[in-house]
Amino acid sequence: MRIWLLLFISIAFKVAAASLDSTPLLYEGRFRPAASIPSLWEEAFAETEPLESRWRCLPSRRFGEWLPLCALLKSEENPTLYPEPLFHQLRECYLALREEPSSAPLRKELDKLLWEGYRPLARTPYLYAYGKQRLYPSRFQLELELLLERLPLTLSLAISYLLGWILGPLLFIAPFALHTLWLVARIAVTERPPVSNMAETLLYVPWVVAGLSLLLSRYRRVVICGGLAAGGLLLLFWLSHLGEGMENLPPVLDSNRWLGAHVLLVSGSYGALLLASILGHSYLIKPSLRTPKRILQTLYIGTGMLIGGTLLGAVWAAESWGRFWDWDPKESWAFISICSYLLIIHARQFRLLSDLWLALSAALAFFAITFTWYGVNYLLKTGLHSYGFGQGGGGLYLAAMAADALLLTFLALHRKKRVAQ
Amino acid sequence: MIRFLCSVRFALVLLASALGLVIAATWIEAVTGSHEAASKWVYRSPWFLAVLVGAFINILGSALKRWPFQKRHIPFLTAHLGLLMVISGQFVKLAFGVQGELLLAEGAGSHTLLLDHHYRLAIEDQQGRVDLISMKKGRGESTLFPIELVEKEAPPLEVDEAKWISLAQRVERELPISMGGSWLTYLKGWGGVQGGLFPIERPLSDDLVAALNQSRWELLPEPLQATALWSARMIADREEAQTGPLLCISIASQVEQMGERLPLDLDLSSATAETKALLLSALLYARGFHPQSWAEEPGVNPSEGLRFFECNGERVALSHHGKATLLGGAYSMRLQWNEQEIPHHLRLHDLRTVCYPGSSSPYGYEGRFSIDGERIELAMNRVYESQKGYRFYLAQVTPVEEQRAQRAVLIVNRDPAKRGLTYPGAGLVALGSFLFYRQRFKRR
Repeated sequence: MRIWLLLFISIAFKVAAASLDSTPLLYEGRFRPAASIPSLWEEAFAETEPLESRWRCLPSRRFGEWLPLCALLKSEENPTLYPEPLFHQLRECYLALREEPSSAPLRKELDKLLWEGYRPLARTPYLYAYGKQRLYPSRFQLELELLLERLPLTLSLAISYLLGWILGPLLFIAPFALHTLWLVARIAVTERPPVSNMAETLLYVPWVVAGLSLLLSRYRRVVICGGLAAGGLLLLFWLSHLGEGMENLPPVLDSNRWLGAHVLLVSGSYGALLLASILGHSYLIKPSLRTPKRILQTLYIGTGMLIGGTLLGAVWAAESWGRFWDWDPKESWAFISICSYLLIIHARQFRLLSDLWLALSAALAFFAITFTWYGVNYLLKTGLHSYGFGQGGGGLYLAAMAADALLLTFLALHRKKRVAQ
Repeated sequence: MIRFLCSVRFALVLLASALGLVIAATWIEAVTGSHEAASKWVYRSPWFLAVLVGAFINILGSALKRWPFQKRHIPFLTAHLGLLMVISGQFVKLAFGVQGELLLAEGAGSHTLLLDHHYRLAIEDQQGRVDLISMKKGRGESTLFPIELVEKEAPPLEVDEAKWISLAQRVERELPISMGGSWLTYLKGWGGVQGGLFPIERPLSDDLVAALNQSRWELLPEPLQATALWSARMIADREEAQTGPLLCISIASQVEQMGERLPLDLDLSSATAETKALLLSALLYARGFHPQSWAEEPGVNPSEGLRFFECNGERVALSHHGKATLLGGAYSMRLQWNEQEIPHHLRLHDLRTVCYPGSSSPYGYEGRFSIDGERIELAMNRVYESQKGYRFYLAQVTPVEEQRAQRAVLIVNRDPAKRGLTYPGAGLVALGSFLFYRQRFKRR
């Protein structure tokens, strides 16, 4: 089974890679840091030069930096990491291509020279610090990176999640599998868990939502709600202009073990609790007998993950900053979220909460999560989690919350009246 | 009553009040910009402590209520025992643990921690005798010092107000004429003027008159007194032609250069309050202060440790490393962090910030240290723990430029409870949550 899966993935990958018109080196690599020697590249920005001249294709002698093609024009001395003969070959080829910009064979040759020349460099270190190092990406990683950028994954996934519930749960599996592959590819490219900034969590949380709704898919409504939530979040990411989220990691987060354990669990819990909230909405719109149990189940899963993840974060803080808990705003809001969900769970456990109230409170408690997730970083902006701070969307966020609160009040009142009748 | 304390209703009340209090705390922190204020009003307040103690009693009570325990109680007991262990771990750390910062410059060594949130006052008299006072419950007494110091409630400060206070402190350091804490009134009274001297067409407030009358000009060296007198005269001569602040500064500083040769033909100590106000403004010009620039002064965050003291009716505001004079300049007072010695000696050899290629965003901070003679390497997320249980975490490296000697801030801590209580407790809570889920949804 596993072999078949691997075979399938590699064939799919080969097909996808073959569809690219050039290797990833003859291409504008957006995540390759530009060289800090302007004399070698400032010519590239002259209007007369072709666009390709600005592409950062050449690994610079300053480790880790990349030079644009036009650096080949300045030939006094080889500024690249490529050996001397190859450099001259590249240079001749590039000069010839400049004379004849539309020549396909020349372009192909340049591409091949770059690609073959890069082979010995791949997976060699360019940056050292105590206990860690950064390596030049392998050729496979470069191909993956280009594929990730070329394919319109966000939008197509969002649409297929949103449509998946119409077409039935079976068709829901395909986008989920694609989403999984996408995340795996991201992990392979960035070499870290896909949760180190806002953009990445907006890709990871829908995956959790979709996965969880597939796990509980025996109940159709969960899949519908999951599809809506996952599609909605991806759409939000597509609309938000947050970028790819593949930026460099600040040193404080650079610990895959802790980042993985703490943030994967915490943001995973956001997914489960979002599902609970959407299920709560759906119950208020159209009650059914089995929904409250699913709401409670997702609440248990989400709260468990949230508590576990928060505790792991506290242990991380204790291991590095030396204090387990210090009421930093992010910690405080995690605490507030946990308290609100524990309130619901305890009240339900001791039969103090009817189905209607369970649904309503599951929907309302997610406000605390949105504030922990977005509000602390974008509205409060105080405390130690400062590497995640950003701005924008505050007004929209508040408006959306207010609208949702109004909607919930209306639905609950309506439902109550119905029950009374 | 006991039944209520062990009931789930009490648990719900506690959860709801904890929730409300913490929301209020984060709101306070966002509005005032000060974690200290939030701690004071919520996290270290009696009502929050009451909620914690209540939770402790409630959990313990509700567990004992279930005696004799049965198999179905396992998830409940695991999760709640874990929670009790975490809470008690925190109390043990607070009572017996160590948490502080160690500041080191390249080449320097130290075994002294600065303790967060704990400070002391250094009082110095004119003979140079120094007394260190730790404030207890907001009060402190000194052997040197005849009068009790009382720490006052920080008034609700706007960023703007804190800016004025810090400005007044700077002026006070520059010009040691005791003004009994009235520099603030003076500067505010002068502020916002286009140029020229202190505007005395407006009547001076009583406080200010009293302060100016008490001010001790004889503390100033004579050339400086002459500077004040003559630059005030020269600026006043030009008053007709709308003297701008920069011209005033230039006049006053030129006069100051000649200060030694100028005659002091007026006894400044016995001048009227209005004259003194004029002279002070001239003196401030000589030192480069001018009222227009104050508007552009960067705001000071009031949370940056401004503390207020009262001593014999005199109000003093102190920031960390700030200095103030007391009782007519007879004493000076400084605010310092409390210190604690640790049984390790740490020396910093070399520190560096590694940046990502082609950018100034850091990839790692790292330093070579020696601890009791043994070489160690520290980096962010690479912590050293000594055999005595002290952990050293490299928290900050300043400045980034390699040309200057760099400084490291290390967070040092010792937590005797973490292996025995806190971590196992956290593990039990997680295990308990999982068992709860299993128990609840076993039969699907």
